[in-house]
Amino acid sequence: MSNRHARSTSLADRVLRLALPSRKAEAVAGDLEEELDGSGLRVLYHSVMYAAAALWLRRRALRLFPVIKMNLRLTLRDAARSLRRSPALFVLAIAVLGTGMGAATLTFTVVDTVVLRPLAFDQPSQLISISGTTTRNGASAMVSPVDYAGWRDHVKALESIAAWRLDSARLTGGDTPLTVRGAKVTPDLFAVLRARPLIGRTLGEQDRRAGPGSVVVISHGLWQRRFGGSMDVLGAAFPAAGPPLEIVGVMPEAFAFPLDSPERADYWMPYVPAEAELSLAQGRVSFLQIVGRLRDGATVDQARAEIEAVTGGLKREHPQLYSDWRPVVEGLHESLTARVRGWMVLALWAVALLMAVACANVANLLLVRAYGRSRDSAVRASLGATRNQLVGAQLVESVLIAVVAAVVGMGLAQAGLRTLIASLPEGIVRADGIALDLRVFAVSAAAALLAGVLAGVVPAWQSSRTDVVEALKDGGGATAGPSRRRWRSALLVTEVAFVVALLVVSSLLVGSFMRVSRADLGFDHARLVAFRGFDDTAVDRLRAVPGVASVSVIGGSPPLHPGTTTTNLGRLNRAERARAELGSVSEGYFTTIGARLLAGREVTALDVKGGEPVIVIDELAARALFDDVHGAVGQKVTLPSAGEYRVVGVIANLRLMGPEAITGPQAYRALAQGPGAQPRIVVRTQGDPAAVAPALKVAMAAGWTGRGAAPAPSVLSDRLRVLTADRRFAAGLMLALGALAIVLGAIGIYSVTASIIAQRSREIGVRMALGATARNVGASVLRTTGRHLLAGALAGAAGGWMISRIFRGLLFGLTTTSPEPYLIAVGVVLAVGLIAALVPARRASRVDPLVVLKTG
Amino acid sequence: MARRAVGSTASLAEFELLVLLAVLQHSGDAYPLSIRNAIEERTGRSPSRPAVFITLERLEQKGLLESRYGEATPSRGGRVKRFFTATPAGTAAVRNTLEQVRSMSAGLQSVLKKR
Repeated sequence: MSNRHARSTSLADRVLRLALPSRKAEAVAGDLEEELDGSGLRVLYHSVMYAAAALWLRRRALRLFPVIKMNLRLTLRDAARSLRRSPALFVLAIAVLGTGMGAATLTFTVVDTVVLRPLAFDQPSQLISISGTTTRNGASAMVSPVDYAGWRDHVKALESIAAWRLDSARLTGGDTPLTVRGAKVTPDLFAVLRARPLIGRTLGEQDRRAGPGSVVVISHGLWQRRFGGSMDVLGAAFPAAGPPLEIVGVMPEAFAFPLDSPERADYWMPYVPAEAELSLAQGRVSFLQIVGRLRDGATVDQARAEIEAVTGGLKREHPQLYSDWRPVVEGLHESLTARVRGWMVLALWAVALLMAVACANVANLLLVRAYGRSRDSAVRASLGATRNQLVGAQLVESVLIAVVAAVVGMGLAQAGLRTLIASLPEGIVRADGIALDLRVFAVSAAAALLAGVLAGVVPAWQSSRTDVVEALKDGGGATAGPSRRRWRSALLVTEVAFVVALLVVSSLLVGSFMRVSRADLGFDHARLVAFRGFDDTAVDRLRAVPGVASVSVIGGSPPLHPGTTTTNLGRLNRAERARAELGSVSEGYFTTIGARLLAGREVTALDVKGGEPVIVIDELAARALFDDVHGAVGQKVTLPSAGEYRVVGVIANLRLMGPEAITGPQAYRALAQGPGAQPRIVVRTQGDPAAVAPALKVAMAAGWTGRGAAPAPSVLSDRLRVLTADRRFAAGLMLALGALAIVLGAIGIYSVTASIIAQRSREIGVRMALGATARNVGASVLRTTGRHLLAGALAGAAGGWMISRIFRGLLFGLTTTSPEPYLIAVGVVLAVGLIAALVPARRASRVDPLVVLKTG
Repeated sequence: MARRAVGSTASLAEFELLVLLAVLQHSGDAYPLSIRNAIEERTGRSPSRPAVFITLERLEQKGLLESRYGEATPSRGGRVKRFFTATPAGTAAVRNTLEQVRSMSAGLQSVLKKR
């Protein structure tokens, strides 16, 4: 509650600041706070009233605007009346502008919340994230306690540094047992984040000395759900299985850490590295993530240099442990948003283009209408209306359209928001905080007003130049002057250019997504189901299920599932070495997953314990050790402390983590020949794996003798969908925006062409009277429109190319100069544009010269 | 609406007069809240907050009032207070307006008497 209050008062402050100088605004806000004490919504309401009053006081300053000078009410009534006279145009303009604004507001809301807004910590720009990467393939990697301790003790650019790892706990008591997410954190995490508790205390120095496992800090959510928000929570026992923990504090509702986990953490318990973890004697075990705070004045670059220096020292002492590992230091905000920043910012560009299309479109509609009314304006001018009044009338009309469109757009955005959030890919930072707020509404309304004014300026300016005498002459205004045509052409070309640019960018992204989903993974993921668990009779039970083609076992992680073991693979008696992912497989495994055998054979039933140890390597390992795929078969390789292996086969590289990450080199031993990692099961089905999965689940659970609950089936094509979710979403978004752009573009092209025809009807009539055929006339109209379309398409293609160069990194299997996206964009726009122009062109060809020339 | 002449000849609209009188009553520590309360207490009518605000702004623009920023208190959420005092011209305008009312109403006592 108190939180909500704080939010609406700060909103109130912002409202007041919009209209008043800051000290006056502060004084007014102070009065409201003093008088209304604590009622946030009332404060907000009265602030809006004050702001309105203040703006009214300053209306004289707005006098530069011709509109304000005249009787506003009369002008508004006039505008409303004239809009009512042509409801089709009114509705069309509002629909176009409203759609554009709805899309813009929605996209801006999401991008702002996820990417642009600073993190909700004190001095967020001082926070940095330190993680690692394997130099082999750029995959991200965790940090070890040794690294953490080294940086903590030696990096001077950091004021404080904390380590954390994700954790989960099974809550006991209550109606249903529930697993909640949490984190094990070094007690200084709260100092690093400068986060204060809502009640009680956070973790601190004393928790370091008392030893881990005795206290815990819980989230506001857990406090509410489990303890009903009672103050008795302090000192109560944490209701989870395991050693007893005392609850010492509750964090505020707004506190969330880590920010990138799909579910919010509900508790934080102290983690203090054990003595053994702080030495490298047992090897290097990495499971931590690091967050640090820069000292005042220190930069990320300084911190990075020092961190690399510390790691460099460790590397010299333990070269084998650090051979393929390197720290990655970046701002916490950047690291959290790195995954989505690219395409989210691209989406902003796309809606900006869409908004531009919408504005050009409305400008066109208004322009067309203004010319239609030039006689009307001339009558008014002759009756004494000043130029200001004429311009003002038009401006008011456009602003009116913009305001109504803003309301419609907000409605659309509100309606679309839930759908959009629901379709966001999993694990996006701060996605649960996405909500339309006043700021976004203000931006949207400002954009609408600007669009309205811009769309009104040109026609207003042009209509005010109308020559009274000329316009009042009988039949005057039947042909548009060259300057008007130029404006209209320019707007049409601009609009087409924006549409084409947007289409180029979206077909690049959609094309990339299609290529990612069809990419060759080195195996056939279509009809595979994996189980992350194993017991002795599981294979037989699963084989008996109808619809199963084959069942194999892998020691290690199944494809598309996280978790790998790496080792040093060496060529026997030679210096060649490769860092390789190591697994062990049962007979027929590679057939089951549909891997491509490039040379030799796969692991078979003949590779038994006691026989010659065999190994199957992938093409990357073969090239690294033997320079050649075929030459590798029959050679011998070594594994550290595991002896020699004969290479019996070479397979194509398996993209174990999806199409966009290279995993490998890889090596697979025979499962039967020795101890391997945790065995897991991979099943190939004959038909749709989703249809067989329930039966597989039942078979796995019936007679399960392994540890814990029987594992659930995991369909590999679903896993691939998860791995490509970001791309799918971005492609979907771009597809939707592209489709909208086409519709808006078609409307624009149609309306402009139609208006040109309407105004040239007299000229067309003359030409037909002089012998031009209907065909000639239609063709001439199409030719003009076609020229405009082509000019716009070329400009748009160039614009699209420039924008896509910024987002090169998002492309997969396509480059900014791949011809397909450009051909698609230009082709679609030309086709749609010519169809849109066809209707008015046909109308032109049916002009009856007698009628036109008579009525003028 | 041109800026009106400032000086002893300035005369006030009715609500302006009420606001100025309220400011004079609080001699030095008048702020919007106390001004509105004073009007409410003495006249029984409760003007809207923005109306008081607009009138104060207008009177300051005309040079009849001055404002200064005072201390910030916790009950105001740590925000400053804006105090208003009447300028000599403001006091003169009050005097002038009351004088006009008095001279216009002279001799009307019997008509205006409460029945």
